[in-house]
Amino acid sequence: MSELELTPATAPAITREAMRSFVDGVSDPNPVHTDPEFAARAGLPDVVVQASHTTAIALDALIAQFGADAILNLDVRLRGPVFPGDEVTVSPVSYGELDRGVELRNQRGDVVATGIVVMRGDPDE
Amino acid sequence: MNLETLGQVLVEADVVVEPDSVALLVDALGTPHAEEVALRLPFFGPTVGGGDSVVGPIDLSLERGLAGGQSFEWHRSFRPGERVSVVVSVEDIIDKGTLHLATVLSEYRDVDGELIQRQRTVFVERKPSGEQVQDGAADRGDGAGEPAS
Repeated sequence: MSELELTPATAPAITREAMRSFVDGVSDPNPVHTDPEFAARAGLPDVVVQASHTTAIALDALIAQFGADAILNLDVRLRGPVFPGDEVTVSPVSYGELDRGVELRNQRGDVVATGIVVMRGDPDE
Repeated sequence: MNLETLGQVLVEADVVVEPDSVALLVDALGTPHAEEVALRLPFFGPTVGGGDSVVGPIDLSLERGLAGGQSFEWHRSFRPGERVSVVVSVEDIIDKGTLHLATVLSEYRDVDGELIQRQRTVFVERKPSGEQVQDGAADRGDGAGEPAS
């Protein structure tokens, strides 16, 4: 397989309102996404973006460039927290033989997630 | 975490892909393809049946837990307004030194029983300091991620 022909894409900065809308949409009651005091008790400097929200940013970049029907599997490993105001960029990356990789970095260059994509037509489809 | 939940079915339910919920996700993402993304996310998965339906049975601490990863196997997108069946089970749950790891599998089928998608979430929970075993196995890459959801 060749590296994913994905043009790096930066998602809009994640607002607290967007975070609230997302957790309401997924009915996630975990206050770590909405309550800064709870987040502080968990050792975090602020509320953090819901995991599926981060995954959705990766998926959005993939769907925008390849179409929803082209993407069969997505395996995301969450590497670090995403905070309000973060701008996440999705870029292609290779992991040895697993070429169909994506990497998500925040505006500080920190890797917040990595993923492997299986596309329609891939040998391991 | 409760390691005895290995293999247990936590949730079996029929749910409707609520357009209002889809709209909330679309608003959150704010991109031209947001609706297509929203219809691939199982937003009613681990939280179906109430927020405690998964966290409670596996005894996951929200203050010490995080989501370490998610994987998706898509057969098609959800359709707004359709009724789907959801089965959520504990595929794996292990003690790994200073951590507990749980893989929760959610399967979504349409009214004809056809598979729509499989989704797995890996939850990672730091043990309370008094329970930790210093075998060095824990901190080799499974412990990043985002707080559990």
